[in-house]
Amino acid sequence: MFKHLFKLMWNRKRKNLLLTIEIFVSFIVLFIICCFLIFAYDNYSKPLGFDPNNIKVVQIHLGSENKIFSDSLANYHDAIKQMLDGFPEIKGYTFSDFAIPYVMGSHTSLIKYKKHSEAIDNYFKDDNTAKVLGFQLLEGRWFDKRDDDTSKNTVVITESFKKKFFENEDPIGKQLYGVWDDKQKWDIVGVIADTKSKSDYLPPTDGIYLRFNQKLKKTASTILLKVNPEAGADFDSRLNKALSSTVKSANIDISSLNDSRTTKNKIVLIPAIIFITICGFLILNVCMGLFGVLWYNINKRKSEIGLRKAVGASSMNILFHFVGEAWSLATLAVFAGLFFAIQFPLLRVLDIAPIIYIKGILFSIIFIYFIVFLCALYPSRQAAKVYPALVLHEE
Amino acid sequence: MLKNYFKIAIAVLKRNKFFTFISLFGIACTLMVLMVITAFADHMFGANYPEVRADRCLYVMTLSYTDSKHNNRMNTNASFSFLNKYVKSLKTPEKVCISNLSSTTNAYLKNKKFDFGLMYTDSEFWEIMQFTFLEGKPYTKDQILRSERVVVINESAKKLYFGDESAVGKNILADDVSYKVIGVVKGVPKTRFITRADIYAPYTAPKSGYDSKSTTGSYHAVVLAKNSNDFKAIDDEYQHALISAPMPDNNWNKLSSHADTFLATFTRMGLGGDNNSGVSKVYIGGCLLLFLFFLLPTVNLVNLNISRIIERSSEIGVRKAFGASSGVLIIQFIIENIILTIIGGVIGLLFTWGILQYINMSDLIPNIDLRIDLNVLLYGFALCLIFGIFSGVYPAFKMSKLQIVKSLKSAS
Repeated sequence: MFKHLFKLMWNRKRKNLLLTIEIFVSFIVLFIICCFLIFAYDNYSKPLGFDPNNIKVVQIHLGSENKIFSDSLANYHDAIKQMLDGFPEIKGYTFSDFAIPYVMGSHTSLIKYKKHSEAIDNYFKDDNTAKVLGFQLLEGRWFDKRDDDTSKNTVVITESFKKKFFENEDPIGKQLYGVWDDKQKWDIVGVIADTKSKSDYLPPTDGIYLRFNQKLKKTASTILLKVNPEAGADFDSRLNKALSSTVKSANIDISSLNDSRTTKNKIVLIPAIIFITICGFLILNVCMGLFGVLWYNINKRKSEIGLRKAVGASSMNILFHFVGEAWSLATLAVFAGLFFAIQFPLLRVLDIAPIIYIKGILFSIIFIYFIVFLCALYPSRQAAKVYPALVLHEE
Repeated sequence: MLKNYFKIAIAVLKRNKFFTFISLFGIACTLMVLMVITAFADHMFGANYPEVRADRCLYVMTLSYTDSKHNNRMNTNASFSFLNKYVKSLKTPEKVCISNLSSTTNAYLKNKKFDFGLMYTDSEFWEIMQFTFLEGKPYTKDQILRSERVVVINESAKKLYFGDESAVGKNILADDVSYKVIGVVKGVPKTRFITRADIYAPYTAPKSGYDSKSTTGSYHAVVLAKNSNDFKAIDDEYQHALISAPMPDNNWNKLSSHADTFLATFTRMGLGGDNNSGVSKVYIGGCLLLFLFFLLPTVNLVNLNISRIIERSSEIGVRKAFGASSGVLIIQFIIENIILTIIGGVIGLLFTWGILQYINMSDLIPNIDLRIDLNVLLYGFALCLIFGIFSGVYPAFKMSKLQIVKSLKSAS
């Protein structure tokens, strides 16, 4: 049966060449879309790793005239803390550098452990961050008072950081090198779950969390507030006034973390939707073309169909025969396409798990066969309805 | 002659309406997608309101500091003083303006909160960018130097904050600073982020950070060249000026920054490098994508055309029998195909117009003004021709090879 189908196809190889090319290119397009969709869905189904609800982001852009010097840094932070404590709506707050979730930009630096070294994003957080943002602690502990007076520098790492650097080792108590320079050592005290801090549809980022302390001489440019759900514009306005009088001549922006999450998701989704629409048009185009050509070709072979029926083929047989012919064409195209598609996981073209490519290939194969089936169905049914006496007479 | 071809083409189109529909749909869709994309690209990168002189402009957007020892890298905007010292002093350009990207500030009015984008600019900003003033006028150099608290706001911010009355002379409270409104401009869509803001304030406003001594900050410069031939000279002069530029601190030992065209400011970081703007890579990639995008519909159309030749074998047989050469037949078929693609192109143009109108009307991107301008129309027409010729050549060649006897016989 299959041998017969392939033989028929081979006999018309020059006529079928263009059709095969068309299906081949469609397969490549579908492969790209499928991989992208699976990639996005795979990320979407992973947990966020933190809770962005009811979090207000206060960004303080200090003017130059009130540059905070290291000796007054504690006073500066204390004044803000005192002010924030006066608001009953605020359930918790934490100081941070600018690198908070859904904000572009981060510090990256080379980190070394034994022989492994890699550029990793680093974030400055304080003792309350894990509670306010709801980080999930997997091993060890988050920063606390114990880190105050020791001569050590403590850090918390993420799960995927641990996988990259330690594999099966226990990272707690191990030392990393080179966050700012080679001489400094960093002690790991905890491991938290990965956070999807770029967008719901992008993979979680690995990172290393450093503790805000006076030793680092950094000003907190961002404050994250966990507030009651009722805190609205009125709260923002009062907070803005209070902050403006505490921190003189700084540009203050209050926003909600969930709003920036929506914006970030849109930045990923809108181009994706445009891209998929364009590819959708292409595929629709191909479908109609394929349908037209198959219809035409099958119509030309009426006498052959008449003959097949005359020697005993049923309508079902004819239907299967033509769908089978279209499928064998598709098989040839898919094999050609697989040759290219398989290079992606083999060469690891992008930093994406190979399983996503494999799934992408599977889905696109299923989709191609489905499309070809749909396009071949109507012409094949027309062919199956033919009366042998009529068409053979025509000849 | 052409009239004859036209008549034949129409007759063929009418013969099998379903096939005609498939062909026209394919052509129209392809061209529509391409024209919408070109309209967007033109909107993003072309010279449009208010950056009508964009093709004479270069942009200094980022300072890129590297520390070769530790492989660290910092990309950041420059400070006002840095740009003032190293860019504004350049001799080759006609004008230089310094501004930052609008950052959200909160304005409050009777317990209502507005998120306004606030941008700090100098007075040259209003000379390089051609804003349409609905009310009032921009601030001048003198007003900036006197640190006057004046602002220009855009149309939608004015509607939100002041309603329908005139806004000039009134005060707006943004970021806890009271400013006097002296002008209202027509709004700029979000996609033109160099000029997009709700409130434009002089750089000497209280919280702008313009007097910071640091090299890094939040500002960028737009350089207006006398003409685009000066671009290279300007960047060279800038590179020369940068030699003496200081590092922000001891952590860094190399600074790289360029006066780039708008497109190159995007491509340099990802695709290019210090010596390569990466624009050529974008063009090559774009052409490759365009080729792939065209490949499918072309192969599709070729396929359909080949299938339809048989329909016309008797006509070809007769014409050949009466002495028509292959060349004449090929030309006829290609011209017919071009007519088909042009009809498809006109339909595609109508679709495009509809879609662009829809995007303009809808609130998807406020203030956006997408148009089918002459350039897009010309591109579209050129694409039609290329499309028609490419998809017509192979079928026409096949057709001209038909044998007379065979084709006359099969038709009977």
